[in-house]
Amino acid sequence: MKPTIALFIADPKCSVQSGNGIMKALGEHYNFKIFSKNELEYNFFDGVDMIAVPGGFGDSNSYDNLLKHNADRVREFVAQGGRYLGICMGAYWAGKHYFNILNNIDAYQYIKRPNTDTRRPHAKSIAITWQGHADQMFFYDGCALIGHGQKQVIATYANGDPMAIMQGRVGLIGCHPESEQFWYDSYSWLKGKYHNGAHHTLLLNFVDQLMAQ
Amino acid sequence: MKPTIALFIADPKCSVQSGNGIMKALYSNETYYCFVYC
Repeated sequence: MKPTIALFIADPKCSVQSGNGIMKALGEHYNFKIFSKNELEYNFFDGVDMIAVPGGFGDSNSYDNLLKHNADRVREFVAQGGRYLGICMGAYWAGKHYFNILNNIDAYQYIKRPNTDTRRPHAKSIAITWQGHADQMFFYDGCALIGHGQKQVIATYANGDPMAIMQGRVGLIGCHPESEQFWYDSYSWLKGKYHNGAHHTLLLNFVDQLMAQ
Repeated sequence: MKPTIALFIADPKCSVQSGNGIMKALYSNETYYCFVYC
């Protein structure tokens, strides 16, 4: 029996592109069900192992509108031992101003961090180190995960800030390992930089590890 | 290669409940991911 992931989609903030990338990366090993901003049935999370909140375009403050019906349900799911995967916007929303499911860690714009290697939020392939291996990963105004709370750092940005972490059953990634070929083809400066699925494997391993927490 | 279904979701008109039912039914038939449009 495959584990089930409840995937939040509210395009474009939590975009279909990011959601589809997550499903493509994980679909062979995980089943999915979708939820949106509309109020959930009382038993929606029954049988769900993980909530995934993808990335997208726009201001993180759209949280108040998009999660007004379901934020408490997400918090309750995590408090009861459910897992949370947040990518980019979904990672920001784990922070204290939103779901508030982290302990002494918060999400900050990487472009505003000390010694960042980029000050502009646009799409780019950015230098990271994932479990000791130098790489480049799709970035779109992603977050760094900063704080003294206990965490497992899976990947870092060029300045050493944590880019992908796990804290208990919460796993957060500031960049976009779920990115697909067409993301790169959409920008002239990213052509030829697609990871050929390697980052989907990283995401699958990350989620498998999160499932084991 | 498993078949792929592009699933249109525009909640509540084309609802997540219906979409989730479709996905649940078809996962057992080896369809392994869907594309969703909201």
